Formats: sequence, C-alpha cells, structure tokens
Amino acid sequence: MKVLLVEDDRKLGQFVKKGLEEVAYPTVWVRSGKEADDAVDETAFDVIILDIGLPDGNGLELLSRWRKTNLTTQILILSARHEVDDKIMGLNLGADDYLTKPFSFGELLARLRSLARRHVGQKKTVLEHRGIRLDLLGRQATFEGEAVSLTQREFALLELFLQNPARVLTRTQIVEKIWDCHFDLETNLVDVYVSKLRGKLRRNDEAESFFQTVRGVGYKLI
Amino acid sequence: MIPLRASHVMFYAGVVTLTVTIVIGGGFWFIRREMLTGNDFLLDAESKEIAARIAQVAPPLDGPKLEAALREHAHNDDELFYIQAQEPLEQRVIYRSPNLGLDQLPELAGESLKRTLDLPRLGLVRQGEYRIPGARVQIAMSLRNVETVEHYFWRMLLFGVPVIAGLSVAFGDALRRSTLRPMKLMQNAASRISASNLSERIPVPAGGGEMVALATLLNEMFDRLESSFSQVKRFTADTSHELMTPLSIIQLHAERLLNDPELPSRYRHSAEEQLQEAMHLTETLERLMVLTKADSTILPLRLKPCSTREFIAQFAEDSQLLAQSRGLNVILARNEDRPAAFDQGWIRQILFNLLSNALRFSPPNGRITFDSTVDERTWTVEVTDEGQGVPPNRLEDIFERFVQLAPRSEPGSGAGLGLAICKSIVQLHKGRIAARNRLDRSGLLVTFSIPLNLARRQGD
Repeated sequence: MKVLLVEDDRKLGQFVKKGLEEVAYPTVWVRSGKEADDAVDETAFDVIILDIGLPDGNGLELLSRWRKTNLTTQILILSARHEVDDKIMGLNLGADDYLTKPFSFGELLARLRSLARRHVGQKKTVLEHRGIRLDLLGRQATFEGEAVSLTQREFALLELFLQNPARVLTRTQIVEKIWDCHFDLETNLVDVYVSKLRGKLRRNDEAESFFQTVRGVGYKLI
Repeated sequence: MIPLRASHVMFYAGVVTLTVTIVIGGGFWFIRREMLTGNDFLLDAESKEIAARIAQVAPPLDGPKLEAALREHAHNDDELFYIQAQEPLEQRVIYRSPNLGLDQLPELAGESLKRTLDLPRLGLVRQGEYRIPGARVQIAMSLRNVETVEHYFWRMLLFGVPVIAGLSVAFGDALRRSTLRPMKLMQNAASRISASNLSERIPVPAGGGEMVALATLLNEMFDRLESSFSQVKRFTADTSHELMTPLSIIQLHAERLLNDPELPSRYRHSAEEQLQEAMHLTETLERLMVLTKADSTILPLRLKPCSTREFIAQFAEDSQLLAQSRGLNVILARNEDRPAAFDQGWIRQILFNLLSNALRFSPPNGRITFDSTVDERTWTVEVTDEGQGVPPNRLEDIFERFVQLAPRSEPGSGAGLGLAICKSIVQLHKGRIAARNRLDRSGLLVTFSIPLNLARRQGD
C-alpha cells in the first residue's frame, strides 16, 4: 500500500512516516499543499493522509480540487478540528475517513487498512468473531450457537467492537459513537457496559475475556 | 416596545381630539354669545320703534289708544317678537301680541333688564323689559335659532369627536409606521444577524438624520463584533492546531514505548502516566475550546426533534447501571412527555456531568433522584443527591471554570470544567441552570430548564 502523507509538522510527519514504513507501507511525506499537488500528479497512491492546517492553505481546498479532477484515491483527513461540522464538511467534500489529533498510531493504521480494503469489500450485515455472531439486520446476537440477549446499548457496543477487531478503542471514541457525546462522560459507564458484555460472552475454558483492557486508554477486542 | 409606540399614537390622538373639542366648544360659545348680543340689540331696536310709534299717538294717551297702536305695530313684527304691555302703575296687562298664545311674559324687576327664559309653550326666549311713556313693555324673541345651533353643536360633538378620534388614531398610526419603518427595517436586520452571518449589515436608509446615524453606528458595532468573532474562531482553530499536534507526538511516543516488549518494567509505569496525562490534557483543552466557542455562540447546535420521555428513559437506563455498579440508587421521579428540539449529544453530556457529580458526592446507599417535567414551553430536569451539599456562599461559584468540588486526585474528577460546560450548553439552548441545597436533608439539587422548541424561538 502506497501512502502519501501531507503533514506540515516535522516531528509528527517523521514519526508517522517512520511508523508506516516499519509496517512496510512505502510513504511519501510532503509538508505543503504545493508539494502535495506535485506528488499526486507524479505518483498513483493507494491512500492519502491529509492534514487540514497547511502552511500554504487549507487541506479541504486541496481535497475538493482533487475530487473535482476525479482523483479516486482514498483520502483520510487528519485534523485538530473536533467540530462535528468540520467532519461533515470534510466528508461532504469527498474524504473517505476522518481522524482527529491527537490519535493513536494503532488507530491510524487500522483506518488505513480498512480504507485500502474498502474498494473490494462491501458493507457486511453479519459480523463474526471467534464464535460471536451479530446479525445487524435481524438485531440478533449469538455466541457459540446460542442466542444472547443484549440491550440496545450493549448491542451497539458489541457492533462497534466487532467492526474494529484488534484495534484499541478509547473511552472517548466509544462515548462518541454510542452516546453521541463529545467528551468522556466523567463516569465509568463504558467500563460498566464492557463488564456487562464480558459477563454475557464468557468462554468456560478460557480465563481471558474477549475485551482486553488497555490501561488508561480503553479496550481492544481480541 | 409595542405599548410604548401605541401610547405615542394614543397621546397624539388624544391631543388632536381634545383640540378639536375645544375649538368646537369655543366656537359654539362665541357664536352663542354673538347671537345673544344680536338678539339684545334687536330687542332694544324694537323697543325704540315701539316708543316712536306710541309717541305718534295723539294725546291724551289712554289704554285703548295704546293698545291699538301696539296691535298695529306688533302685527308687522309678529314673526320676530312677542310683545306684552302693562300699565305702568297698576301693572294691568293692556296688550298681549297674539303669537304669545297662552304664555305670559313675566315682569322683570328694574329697568331695561334682559333675561333668558324658558316658557312653557314658546320654549327658550330672550326677554327685555322697557319703560316707555305710558306703558311698561316686555319684548321677547325666540331663541330657537340658538337652540338649533346648540343642538347642532351637541350632534357634532357626539358624532364628530369619535370620528375625529378614530381618524387621528389611524393617521397617527400611519405616521408612526412611516416614521418607524426605517427603524423596523434596522431592527429586522439586526435580529437576523447572528454568529453565522455576521458579515450582513443593516441597510442604511436614504437621506440623512438620526436614522442614518443610528444605522451607521450599529454597523460599526457589527464590524467590531465580526472582527472579534473571527479572532475567537481563529484563536480556537490555531490553538487546537498548535497544541493538538504536539500532544499527538507525545501520545504517539508514549504508545510506542508501551508497545515495545523490551521496555524495562520500571519505565512502563512512567510511559503509561505520560499517555494518561496527555489524554487528560487533550480533554481539558477540548473542554476549554468548547467553552470559548459556546461563550461566543459559535458552537453549532444540532437541534433535532425528540420525545423528552424517550430521551430521559434511555438515560435512566444508563444511570441506573452506573449507580448499581457503585451500590447507589437512581430514581426517576417523574418523566413527562412532550416533543422537544435540542442537541441530544450536548444535553446528554449535561445529564452525565450532573450524574457523575451526584455519584461522586453520594454517601454509601445514597439515592439520586431525577425529575423531568414539562409545561407549555419549558422542559425542566432536576437532579437531587444525598451528599453534603455545597456551602451556600459557593453555590454560584460551582458553575465557574476550574472550580473543584473535590480534590483533583480523586478518580473520575474532571478539570473542574464539567459544570461550566453544563452552564454554557444550557445557555446556548436559551435555558437556565442553578444549584441549591436541599432543605429537607443534606444534599444538592441542580435544576436546568430549556425551552421545548428552541428552533422556533430562534426563528422569531
């Protein structure tokens, strides 16, 4: 997977480029809109990581210009802006995903992989993971063939985990997705729900749960 | 605003009506006086004519001769005058003009007196008393013409004044409208201008004068507002960019350390601490930026219609789970239903903030009560706990920034921005939030209320 990284910050750019190359994604890193334009003209990339705040203009302008010239490369916006409106605007202009700073590298990697997969895969209606089966249309959950009764919130949370296997989900991300709130709820609500899920999805022969705690950060489905 | 303008028109109409009434009344009084003076003049002239006629009678002047002379004279003037004559000494009536009919003119004391009388049959008359050689003559004139004028005057007053009053109200209102139209246009434009279209300006009316000055002044004020708004916007965007990028780097490095299996375990804790503090700092920054934006009303609200009952029921489910996990109880006292429009994410955030405070300060087995009520226009939610409450002098403070109710080291405590955000969000919804201590026992009671239909109110 060939990645174009458009990020003006030297340290952040360096870190991301190095990290991506460590997992064998050849990465071209540019630090301005002008260079980004040139790079896009020269090379065909699989994914573009685009920072919104650039020294010579707004990343969103680049995005809309590229989309107008029918550039179909997958684009992930990387931005410090947390406003819902900014996200909607970015996605409306043709971005495929949106990640806000600060972010975890694991998250960035997972999103890039899912973007690269996107053109072949289609949206699943049944999610499966090690014996857990979630029927999104029928709103039914089974575990090792047996039906599991879940509340609305539990179902939504399990769906979120199954859509992001092996990826760390921060409490804030979970709160944003499930409760539509902007910050951590200053409560251990997420932990309470995860422990509920743990209770309902327990393997007798395994001491370890599906939901691994990442200390101080969140959870990961394993 | 409206009663004041209406009172201006009423004042104007009142002045016009009063003036018209005074002019009509004064005019009538003047005409009446002139008519009476004219009548008196005619009476005097008639008395002189009678005296002249009697002077022509050949002496000796006796009763029959006098009567004949008077009858002859009165015959010519019977359309205008009522005449009666008495003997000067015996006061016996010598002559009464036929037009008097059964009415009798009373004798007036003194000489050349004039008086207005109301006779049973002839009605209102003006009578004069004259002494001429050989007789005392009473001459009277009908005042029917004066009465007609008077009648006309009352009619005018009765029908004319209300018409004048109505007309002056209508005219005054039209005048007010035409005067206030530029004002109204300015008002409309000014109320249309909000954070989202701050570049719009009030149309400056043509010509000169106060309105132009006012419009220009307001536009200058909007210029200043716009520039400070864009400063706030730029500041928050810059801040987030300048701070979030370094924070990303700290977070990424800490994560990298934690993912390294060769990291000595004595450093693992430091890396975890670093990661947690970076995330905590990110949250604090985000909260501060939300506060800044909310205070300058550039924080967008996503208003969506929603049933208050369903929204609270869903929240109650979450809060009961949370309370159970801590050995506390959450009770939903009332959950009234009404369609409302609000930003669900932000209102849920407020509810969770209030819940988290209540949970933190509740004694073991404590009870937290939510009470959600609606009336015609407002949705009110009350959260009550059984904690220690807040010292009365700090009840206002707790909604300020960085005011901590508990030491920061306690788990789950935020940066002291939770209630400040609650207040800002409630205010963005044009609502109110307040805290007071319970009276029945120790505990805090926080109430917030927001209008049910904010969308419609914003459109006003």
